[in-house]
Amino acid sequence: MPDNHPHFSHFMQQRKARQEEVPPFDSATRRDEWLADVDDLYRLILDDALGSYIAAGDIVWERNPIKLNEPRLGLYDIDRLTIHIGEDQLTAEPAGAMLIGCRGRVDITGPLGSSRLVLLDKGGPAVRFSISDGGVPLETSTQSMVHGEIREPGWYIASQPPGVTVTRLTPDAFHQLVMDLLGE
Amino acid sequence: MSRHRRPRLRTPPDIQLIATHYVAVERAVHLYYSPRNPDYSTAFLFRAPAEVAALRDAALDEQGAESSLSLLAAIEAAFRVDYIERDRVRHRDPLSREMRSLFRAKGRFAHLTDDIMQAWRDHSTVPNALLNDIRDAFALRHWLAHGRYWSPRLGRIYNFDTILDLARAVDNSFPFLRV
Repeated sequence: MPDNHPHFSHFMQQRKARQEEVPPFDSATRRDEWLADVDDLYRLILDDALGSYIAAGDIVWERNPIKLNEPRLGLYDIDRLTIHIGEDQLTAEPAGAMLIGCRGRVDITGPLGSSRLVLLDKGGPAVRFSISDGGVPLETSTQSMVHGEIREPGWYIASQPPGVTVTRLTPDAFHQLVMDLLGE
Repeated sequence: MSRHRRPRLRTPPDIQLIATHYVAVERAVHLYYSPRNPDYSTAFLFRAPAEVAALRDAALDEQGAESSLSLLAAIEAAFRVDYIERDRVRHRDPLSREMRSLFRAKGRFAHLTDDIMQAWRDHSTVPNALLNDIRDAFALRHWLAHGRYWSPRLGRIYNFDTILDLARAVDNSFPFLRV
């Protein structure tokens, strides 16, 4: 390659090195994991949180496919969940898996607003700082990007920014979410 | 003797200053919504890149609208300063006489497009096409200044660059009296 502009050559080398640092990515496996995680969420909602009300016929639900198109995952089908409670309805719509700071997000929307359910790894999103002197690391620290304890991987309710707080999604937490979004 | 008082004038914002500010804010917006922002992960936690891009585009649209309004206000200021100065300086050319007559009748309440620009149309060699472009762009100014709550029929698509071109054409074409 001609080297008429050494600074640009250095820039291109940096870009190439950065590209090589990116770990290999299996989009099919990642997409299958994401679809399974959303299935787990819907099971938690429909069986654990609302199962007895569904069995009694007080709550009706349906799943309908929507299309998502994401960087690196491409175009794929995923289900939106609609829950009918009396005259009101809640929708759970997957936002995607390739997001900042989480492994996926599903937005729950009702007549009074919306809430975000996020899929987190153990410990949650964190910023890692390191101070080094001539390439020798002197100090490293990690700071969580959210408030709240994330002791195990799974689905969490995330408050709106700034100062995001996450709460583990449990059947009780989902009941509270339903009342917040539908009004008591 | 005019019953209208002339206001104390000050130098209005320069269009180049508005353009420089626009470029600085535009670059800042691009940086804020890019991964090069040191706070990117915190600011856009749990969002998709496409959602961040949509937020950035909305911020750029808002910035364009606000800066376009500033430019159009600067164009209006140039016309109005000239109008008031022509009343004060009392030149004998037909345009200045017309402006003085207008000031005696309407003072600061003269309408920009119907009165002041009509005087330029009748008593100057400024091209009519440019006056028409200014009149049309002031439909955009009206829409921006009054809250953008209706769908405007502007006849063409405006952005900050087209308004800046117009402001520069006005600056170069009108022999304005200035403060």
